[in-house]
Amino acid sequence: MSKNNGIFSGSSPLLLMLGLAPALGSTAFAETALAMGIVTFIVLAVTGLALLLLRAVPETGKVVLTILIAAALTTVADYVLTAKFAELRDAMGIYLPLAAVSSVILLRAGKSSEESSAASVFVRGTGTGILFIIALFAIGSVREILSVGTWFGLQVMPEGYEMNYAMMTAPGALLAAGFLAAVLNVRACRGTSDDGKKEGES
Amino acid sequence: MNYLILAVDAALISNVAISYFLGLSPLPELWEKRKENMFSALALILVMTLSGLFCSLVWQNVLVPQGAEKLSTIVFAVIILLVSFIISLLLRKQTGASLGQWFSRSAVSSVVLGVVLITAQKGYGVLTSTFYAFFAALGYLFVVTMLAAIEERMEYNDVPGSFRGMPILLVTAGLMAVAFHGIEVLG
Repeated sequence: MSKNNGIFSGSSPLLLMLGLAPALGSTAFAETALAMGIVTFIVLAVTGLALLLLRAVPETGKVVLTILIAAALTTVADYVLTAKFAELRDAMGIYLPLAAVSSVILLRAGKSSEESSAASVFVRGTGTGILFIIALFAIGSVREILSVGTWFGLQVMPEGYEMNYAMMTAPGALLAAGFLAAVLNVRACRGTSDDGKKEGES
Repeated sequence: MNYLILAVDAALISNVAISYFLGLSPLPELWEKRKENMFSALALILVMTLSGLFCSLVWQNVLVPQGAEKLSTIVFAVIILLVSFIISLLLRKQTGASLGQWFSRSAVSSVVLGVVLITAQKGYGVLTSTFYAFFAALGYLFVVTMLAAIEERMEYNDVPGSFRGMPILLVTAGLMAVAFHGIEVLG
């Protein structure tokens, strides 16, 4: 894990993609993707704050606690969404519970709660969470526009646009995520020329 | 339910990594330590099969009769934690591998939670769920092995700088998903 210090500092694209993977299933439409992003952000934020209070707990216990807190929060989110936005909840399917996993991965990979001060952890966590929402929303938008030609239900593509089945299903999500990760990587590559190479070798 | 078709469905058509995007997170770690991989793979199969068994038992006998389906996330999380803790204890006795790291890796993995949620959602019985979880684990390991092999060969390819690492792997997985769609007619 020692070499992760470089890659996983702050909100690097790789870290973001790791947390993003379990949430990809909810990105067929911009609306569900946005909802998933917000739920994950809230779960991430509250779990992170709870962990800050539980600094003294040993490492293995922390894993268990992180998972349990995140799972409990996701259950609460499930109840709230079912009560208020039942249709949206149905569209999210099994991916809503997986918001717990996303936030646990982001928290574990960031793994900053031991070394740095509470304020910097908070800033970094918020940054990651906001980037996460933007990333999910971007993937959802691209997929919805390219697959059915709408955005939030509004027609974007010209009349007679044929439905693109590939973007609607699994390949589209993976391809869109791959291209988004590449876009996010551009900045990292420009900074130091062999940065990208290092990530490729891991 | 034809078990052969169910096996193909669990392992390939509804592959957890390719169709449900689960378990892609620990990919970079998976091929870092190849020697440990054999045991990790076996342990993952065990964890997934046992979690599938226990979760579906609880789902069928406790959660559904009580009308508490919404609590499945936290109940399944507790079961998976227990199962992976016991397996990691056994693993440590056999190999001396570090307990904490493996435990956190398997417990955090979205594959296990994802598979038990899928079987619960599809309404499979206890036996079918266990069977499905076992083949889902095999299918997951198959895809991860293939991706690891592809990644190894791509080291010599001229991949554009920004696509190195995770991005090109995701694109590769996307192209694999297209191929896997070809066998969908079986299901």
